[in-house]
Amino acid sequence: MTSKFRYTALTVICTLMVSVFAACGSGNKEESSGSPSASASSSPEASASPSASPEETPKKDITLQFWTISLSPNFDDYINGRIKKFQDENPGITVKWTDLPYDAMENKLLTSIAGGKAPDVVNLNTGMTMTLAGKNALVDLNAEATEDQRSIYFENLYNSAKLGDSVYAFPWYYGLNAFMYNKELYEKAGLDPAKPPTTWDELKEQAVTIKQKTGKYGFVPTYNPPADLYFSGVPVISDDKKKMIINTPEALEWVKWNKALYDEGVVPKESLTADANYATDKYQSGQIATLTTGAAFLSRVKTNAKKVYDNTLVAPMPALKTGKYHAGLMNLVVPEKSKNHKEAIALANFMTNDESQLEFCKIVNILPSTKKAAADPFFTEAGDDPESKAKIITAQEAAQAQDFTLGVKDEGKILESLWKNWQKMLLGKMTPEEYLSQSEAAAQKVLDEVNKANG
Amino acid sequence: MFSNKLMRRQAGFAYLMLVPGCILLLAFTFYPIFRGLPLAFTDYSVVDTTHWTGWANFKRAFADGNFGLALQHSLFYLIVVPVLQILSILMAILVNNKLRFITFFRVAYFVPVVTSMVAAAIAWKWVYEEQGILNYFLLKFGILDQPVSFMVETRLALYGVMFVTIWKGLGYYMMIYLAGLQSIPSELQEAARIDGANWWRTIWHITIPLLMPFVLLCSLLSMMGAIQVFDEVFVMHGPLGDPAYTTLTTSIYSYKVAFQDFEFGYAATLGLLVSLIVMVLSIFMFRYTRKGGLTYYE
Repeated sequence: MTSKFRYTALTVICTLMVSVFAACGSGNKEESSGSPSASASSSPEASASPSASPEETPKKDITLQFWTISLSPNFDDYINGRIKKFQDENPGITVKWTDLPYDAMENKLLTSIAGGKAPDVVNLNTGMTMTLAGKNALVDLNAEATEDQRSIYFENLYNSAKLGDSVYAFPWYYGLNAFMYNKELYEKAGLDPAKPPTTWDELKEQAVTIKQKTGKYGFVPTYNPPADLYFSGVPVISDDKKKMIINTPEALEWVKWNKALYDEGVVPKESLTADANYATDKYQSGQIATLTTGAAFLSRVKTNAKKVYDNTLVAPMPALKTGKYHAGLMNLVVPEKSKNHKEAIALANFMTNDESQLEFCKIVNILPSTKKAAADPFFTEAGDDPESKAKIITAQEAAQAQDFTLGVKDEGKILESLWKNWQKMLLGKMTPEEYLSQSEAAAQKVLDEVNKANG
Repeated sequence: MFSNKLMRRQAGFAYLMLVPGCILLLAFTFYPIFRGLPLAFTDYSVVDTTHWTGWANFKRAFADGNFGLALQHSLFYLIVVPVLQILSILMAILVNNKLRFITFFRVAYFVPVVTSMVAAAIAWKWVYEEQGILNYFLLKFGILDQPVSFMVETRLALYGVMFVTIWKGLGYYMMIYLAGLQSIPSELQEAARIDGANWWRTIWHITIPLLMPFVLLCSLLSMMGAIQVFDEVFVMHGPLGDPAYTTLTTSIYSYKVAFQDFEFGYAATLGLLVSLIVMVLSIFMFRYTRKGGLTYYE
């Protein structure tokens, strides 16, 4: 009896152990056997991989893993529709779509690559793209994509993901900031809603008036120190990518202006760490008179606070010194570890082509990165609601839009001091002059190390 | 003979029940630790080629100002341990009384424990803001002249998070102490009272010494939690320990190094160093709080 019991226990233990460890080790096994398609753990429905190796027979019945950031469930119909069209045009290819929250993307992507189950097409912002490109994790599209595939995009947007002579992403969609403001609060403050600010100084003056008259804040700046400096006319890095150029008179002027804004209490204390979500929350709850974020955030205001939305007017965003606008670009990349580069590039190109992007722009307030889609009459068709107005205004700003990157490896580490010291400077722990000189020196030190490490 | 056989069967069944837990521990705790250790000696980045770097990561950690700062904050965070334990014991003593509606109070104090930390941290963030409810009351009662943002004021930010940790942990430790209090033989307390000991002396000389095994357990758990604090800091102050790195703790810094800089090898080194510190502190606590429970009277 006892021995029977022991044997049962032993069998159960062994079975459980084997099943757990088999599950843990499956990634490595698959990698070593060179199986052409792998099912990502997030898509259990992914089909079984064909057994023949890609070199032996022409590829067919390929499954491409396509990962996007925060598009489901709002855009399920759109994405599924485009995937269906791609599959119809490319028989034998099945696309499995997985949508991930913004914060989970990097983590999930890395663990998948480490487990030998890299997805084939991935949606990343430019920062993440450059970090992964710097680690040799992405396919160089200048080397592997065709001229036809590359030529449909605006050149400056395509070059956002450039490192040396290589480009690691197809630009997808981007949003531009519009100046959205609460008409009721403007009137309460005695300001003319027909006269929104056209410069940053006017914006500050109006914010001071709003604070005095209504007790509410005028606006919440969402800081991006490296990009803000760049669009204020600071070169940030030399053309040969060897020297950081941050400590300039233009930079000092911009930094001092922001410091005064914070010290004088024109903006909330939390603007130090605020992002677009914070600004939108405050705007829709009527605590802030204006919203200076991407026009796409208007749809959230419309859903959550219809009364505020109906009171919203839209105007062009005052530009920084260069007259250019920061385009927060989303890209599609192909990981180097994808086993179907050609098909993956085709899918990435299809999802970002003129037709796909134009259709996408019609359902949400974003702008296309391709020349033909941007020229469509849709972007000049006027409407009376705030969202339509925002669309026209941002489309007009598009000609001056550009994403900001240094174009060198380890960009995040190089620019870290600019971010880290920015808060110290605003909190009075260093002067604007110290901020610029110390950040420049720290960034230069990291740049030298990066350049040395990469020959 | 019969009882021996029965006992063996019972023991076998007990081991069988332990198996699933052991397997999970082996697969998801010990195996990752075992595989993770060598990473501390490499420049593993997941995506790029990995090289053996020897002690380079350790040398870097000792010279890394940000790690030093994070360690300082994590060690400072330990002040939540005594505060949390003293308050929990007091609360447990309070809810150990036979009063009407006492179950309601016990449940009420336990509610923060079952609340999601992310949801709670977001709510506390709103409470602490310049336009938040805390400032509203402080201004209303004349305690402050000007609103203060507890989120961005560098001297207050870390205390703000500590308060959330205490608020969240109080009910949990209270329950453990309550179980402890109910296991104390009431004769001892009654005898003390008959001998003329007042409430405070009964607590100090009878209750607390008898609770010592529970104090050790709770302090240990709370110490490990405090040094490795992550969720509340991450939700309230982001991966850089805003404002100006004043809430940067070791777990937050390791996360940043791993998932933002892709330096998993270095992050493993930092994790290893923190584990060693936790181990040393645990041994220290065991040595100094060993005496307690009924052994106190032996």
